[in-house]
Amino acid sequence: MKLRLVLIWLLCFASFGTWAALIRVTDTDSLTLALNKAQAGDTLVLATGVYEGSFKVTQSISLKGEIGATLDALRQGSALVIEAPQVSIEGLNIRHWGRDLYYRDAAILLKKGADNVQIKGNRLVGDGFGIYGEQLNSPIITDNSISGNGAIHVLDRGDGIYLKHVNSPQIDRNQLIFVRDGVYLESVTHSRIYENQFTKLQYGIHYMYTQADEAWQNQAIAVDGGYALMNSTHIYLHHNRVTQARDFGILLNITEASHVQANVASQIHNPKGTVELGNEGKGIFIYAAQHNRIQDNEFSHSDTGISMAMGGEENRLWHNRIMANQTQVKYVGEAQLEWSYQGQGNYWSEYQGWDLNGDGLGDIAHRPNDSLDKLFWLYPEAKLLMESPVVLLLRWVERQFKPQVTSGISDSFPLMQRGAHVLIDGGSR
Amino acid sequence: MKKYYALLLLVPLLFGCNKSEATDHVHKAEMIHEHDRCHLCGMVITKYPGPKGQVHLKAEKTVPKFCSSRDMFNFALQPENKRQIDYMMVHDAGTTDWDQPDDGAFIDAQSAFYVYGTTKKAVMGPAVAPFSTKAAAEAFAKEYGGRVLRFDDITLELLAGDK
Repeated sequence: MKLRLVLIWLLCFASFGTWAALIRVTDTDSLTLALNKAQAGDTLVLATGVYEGSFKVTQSISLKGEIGATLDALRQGSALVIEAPQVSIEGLNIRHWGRDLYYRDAAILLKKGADNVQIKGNRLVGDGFGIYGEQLNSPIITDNSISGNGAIHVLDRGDGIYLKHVNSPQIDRNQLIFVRDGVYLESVTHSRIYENQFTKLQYGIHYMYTQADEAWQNQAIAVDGGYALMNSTHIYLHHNRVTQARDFGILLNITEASHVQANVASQIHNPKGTVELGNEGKGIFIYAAQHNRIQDNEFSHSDTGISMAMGGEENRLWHNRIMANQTQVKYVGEAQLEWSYQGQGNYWSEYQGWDLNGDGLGDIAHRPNDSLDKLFWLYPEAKLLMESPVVLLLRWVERQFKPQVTSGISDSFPLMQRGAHVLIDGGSR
Repeated sequence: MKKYYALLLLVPLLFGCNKSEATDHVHKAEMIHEHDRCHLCGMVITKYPGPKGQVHLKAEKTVPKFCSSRDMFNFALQPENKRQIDYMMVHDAGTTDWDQPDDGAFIDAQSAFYVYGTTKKAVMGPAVAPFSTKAAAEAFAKEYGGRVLRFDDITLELLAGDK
């Protein structure tokens, strides 16, 4: 009995020895050989140089690049295919992987079961996907730079990071540019995405059929859209920024029970958009989305600040700052909606009421649209009358008489101060 | 010979007349290209399964296209858009593949039959599956569940109601 225990202990020790193996490779052949022979726990160090072709990782090992170590897939297929759990990839340059999206050409392709992968401090430049993973758990993707090909039509590029049926991914401090979506998540749960930078791409983060996600302190600049929440539930989106987007800052579509807090969406402008076609730039666009909380955000300097379609009524909005948008709010529906919560409304840059009792709230309710706005939305052909004296008179009359409100948005507790415009450290829930 | 040349000048006139008559009455569908994005949600239309839709407007040359017949209705039923619509086209789910609908199978939305509440998955919420005949719609509903509706039955309340 005792002897057997000792034997087991010895075996463990022996395998412990192999875990520690550190293998340095210097060219394509030695890398291929080392990948074939490597045991779980080994570390492969890639010396400075170019390694050509597609490489497969089938054991739980670490790959570390010395400065300038570069994988070059020669424009075919994926550069690195991971087929084992607990793999770590660090400090590599990867370039020239394929551009066939159907075959999932990627710099790093994670196969089913490649759990707990760590991808850290790599520099990826290529046409297809940056990192592509399906059916796996807990990948950590940190501090990488992923650049697509700006010369390809945005829809024919791969996504920077594409994850499908993945649980608990962590994606932080990456820089993504010239890809399709920065991060595309489909049927993902419990993702945590923070401090990433998205530039010149379709959407910063695109949620599709996801649940219980959190994203904070990300930045999107010069994109089509900042953060698209579609068919998803229980997302906590907070302290993110998006500026100079074309279509929207934030999109809430068939998304429920989500919390959108302290984000900034500014300068959302579509030079080719028109309000008639409904494709003007929108700070936040809410449609067919219910039971979401939208608080403390800034929607400013955009074509439309908040655009809500019918079917987006059941949401709670308060403590937002809606400032200097060409159209502050667009809502054409029949319902009468109150945008405030527990006696606190939003800050409106155009609000002209007084606060005589000094409680920080305007004394009369704010209605961002009068009935003439609605008239022009319904009859855009009458637009040429917009600045006519008759219309100005009608607007003035409506303001004087405070007619019975029957539809549209009102805020009974408009804030007099725009409040602290700071990005507080988000942290986790 | 020379006088016949004069007749040739009349030929374009003939075609001109025919053409304008045709576009007045025939509802024509536009193709959906791989780079077309949903006018409402912005997604690439061909990337996701299920029957699509398109809206032809009275005053605009642009034809908004949609990732799903559902999103088409979500757009078309908005009060500010209702008045601007000339006609709408949807994929006939009875004659084309569900996952990759063919643009030859576009039919007029107004006269179509719809199955709502089916187990078949499209995108952007439960499918609103269009059919050219009532029999095809009923057969589909029998196989995949859901109830058969007419064009006027599709309302925003219906779409917002059961998700």
